[in-house]
Amino acid sequence: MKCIKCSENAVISLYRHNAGFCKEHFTEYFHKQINKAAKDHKMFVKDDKVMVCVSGGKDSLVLWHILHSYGLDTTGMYVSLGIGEYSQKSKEKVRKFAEKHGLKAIIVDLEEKGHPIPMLASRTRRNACSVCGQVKRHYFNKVAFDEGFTVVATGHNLDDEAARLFGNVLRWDTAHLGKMSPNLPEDGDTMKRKVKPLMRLTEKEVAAYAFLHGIDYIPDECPMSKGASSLEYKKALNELESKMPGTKHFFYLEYFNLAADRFEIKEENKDKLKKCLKCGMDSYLDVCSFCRLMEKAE
Amino acid sequence: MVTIEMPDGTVRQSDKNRIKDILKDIGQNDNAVLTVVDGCLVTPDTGVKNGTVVKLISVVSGG
Ligand code: SF4
Ligand SMILES: [Zn+2]
Ligand SMILES: [Zn+2]
Repeated sequence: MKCIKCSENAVISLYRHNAGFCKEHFTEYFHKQINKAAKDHKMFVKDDKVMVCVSGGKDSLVLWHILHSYGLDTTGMYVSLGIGEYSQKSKEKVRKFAEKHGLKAIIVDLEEKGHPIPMLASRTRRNACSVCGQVKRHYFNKVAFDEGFTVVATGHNLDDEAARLFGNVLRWDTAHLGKMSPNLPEDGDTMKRKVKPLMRLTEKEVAAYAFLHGIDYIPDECPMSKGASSLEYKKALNELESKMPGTKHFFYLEYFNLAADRFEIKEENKDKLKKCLKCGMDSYLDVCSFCRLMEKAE
Repeated sequence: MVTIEMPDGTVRQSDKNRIKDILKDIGQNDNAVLTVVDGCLVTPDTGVKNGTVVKLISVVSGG
């Protein structure tokens, strides 16, 4: 297959666009998709101080690489989960990436803090991923607030978001359907804006970009992700995609044109928000859910 | 025969000679992997000779 722009050998074929691209023109396409996402959803404003949530995986490191190359003021934020070798290796990838590009990475180490995810999960008898989600969310919000970042960027790609939408639709989870936006506005006094600039790119495209541009990431998956429903949704969507190219793209991106407004969340209880007595973040109760989790695990 | 290095480190064989057919032969969805031959990314229509080693890199992130 040849590149549709220059007739060099293609390194990737994008059936949904009915096109093959060489490295140079794939890179151009990739940047165009990010620019379109950022523009359509007004993701960044001048002088933004961007906190990039990084895991050591391909998506977040590619995102950091690109936002930095655009001249944005970026800092990486990594939460080391205390999940054995996986956490060690991924932390190393983040450190090396930051060092190589002369960037700053803020590292929160749960092992050092005395509450690694496996321990929290077993002490509270909860599923590791749900505890993990809650803990990561807390630290991302807290660090962004404490350090004065104006926006938080995450590496969620088209497959992640299509799978999440698919799961939310299957469960008719209207609360989460209302939070699908790739640009979630600030919330209360302490939650910063959250954006997903890779929303138009599939994970295959992100992996290809990392491969072609020598971005060194951890290819292993978190061992806790085995059996995650999101992986089943991705598999199902990829099967559909193979038979009907463009399905994922249409399903996810058209949601915002055709359906998202039906699930908008009404801001009713905002005046009831107070500050958590322990950590100072917004909470509807005296002590926020993260601090209650910590109390329970003690 | 073509040798396929799977993302989990295992090795498979296929007697097909086009990436697309090889992936189908081993039941691998093309959207979930990158295919690498001689250190370069290749597209599914690429033909490969007997004895070629095709490396698959998983692109699916979980959790
Ligand atoms: S798979 Fe679960 S435990 Fe592992 S990083 Fe993801 S959410 Fe956390
Ligand atoms: Zn080209
Ligand atoms: Zn709190």
